[in-house]
Amino acid sequence: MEYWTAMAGGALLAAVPLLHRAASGRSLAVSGRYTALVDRALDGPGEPDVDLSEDEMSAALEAMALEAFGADAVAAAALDTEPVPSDMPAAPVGAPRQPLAMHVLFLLAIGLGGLLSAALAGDWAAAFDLHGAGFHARYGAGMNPLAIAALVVGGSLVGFGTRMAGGCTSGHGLCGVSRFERGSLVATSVFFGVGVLTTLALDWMVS
Amino acid sequence: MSARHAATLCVGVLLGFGLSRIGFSSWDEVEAMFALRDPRLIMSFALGVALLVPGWWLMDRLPLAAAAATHRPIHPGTVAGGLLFGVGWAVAGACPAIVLVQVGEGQLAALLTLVGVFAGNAIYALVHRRFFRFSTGSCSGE
Repeated sequence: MEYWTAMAGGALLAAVPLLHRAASGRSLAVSGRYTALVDRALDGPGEPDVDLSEDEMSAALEAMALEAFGADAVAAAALDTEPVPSDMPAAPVGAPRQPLAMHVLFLLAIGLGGLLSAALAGDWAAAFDLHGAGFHARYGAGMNPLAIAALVVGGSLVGFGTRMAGGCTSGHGLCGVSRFERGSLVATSVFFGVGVLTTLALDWMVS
Repeated sequence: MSARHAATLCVGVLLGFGLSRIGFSSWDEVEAMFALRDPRLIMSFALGVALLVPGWWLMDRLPLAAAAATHRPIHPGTVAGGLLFGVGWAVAGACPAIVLVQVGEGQLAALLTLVGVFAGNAIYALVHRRFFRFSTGSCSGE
């Protein structure tokens, strides 16, 4: 496959987050979609969204408090309550959670893009392998145990680290850095810097 | 399929197609970037960021999309998480988007990486609940 120039690549990498926001009203965050799927698998669908007015909600809470603590305790607690300051900021209104299907669709679409790219270049071929001589120069011929371990362990570090850092190359690297978010500037410097150091160290060990 | 589904599909396909054509889904190209032998990939990334700065500025002033500026402060997982991600990317040659592109291209060994990414994400979720209490920012649970 003939690779794009950095000019074309940069234009694409800028266009995708902008189009993503236009399409969904959300900041592009690929690792966040993994997180949404994992949380669904760990926790199940969760409580259905309740749609109550403020009065209905406080009446329901009061009834629950009466049931749990008794009328005397609730009355005593009410005397201790400080009034809510009137200048308290309203709760932030974020974009509502996307349905699970949207996360699955987006992740599948990324894979479909790779499939189209390879197919249109005329070099789509499925094999239990990674393309490229460098991969095997480092980890040995074929899918040997070392190569398998490198992908499983490396992939696990990617999943663990991106969730811990709260973002990956898209959310922190592209979107966060271009908005000068401090966490993104730090995370992106660290993961690119450590990627360089790790690669130089492994190349030195193999050579 | 709604218009929103179709739009999401198109953006995802464009991202996967572009990452493939830039060469980000090639283990060897990523290695050449991290070994500082070939600046093409990192220049693509840097140019993308540079173009996004005026891109966001313009988009914030257009009525077509609701504001999606997510605040990303430094938190206790920022450095440690970035460090582990950096090692993983250098070893496996994939980030969360790239691994999907590799599978789509027929590089089926990347299915191992994909299993790893899901497992690592889940393990972190459990470790975080058990040991940590800090917020990792907007990506989690989006």
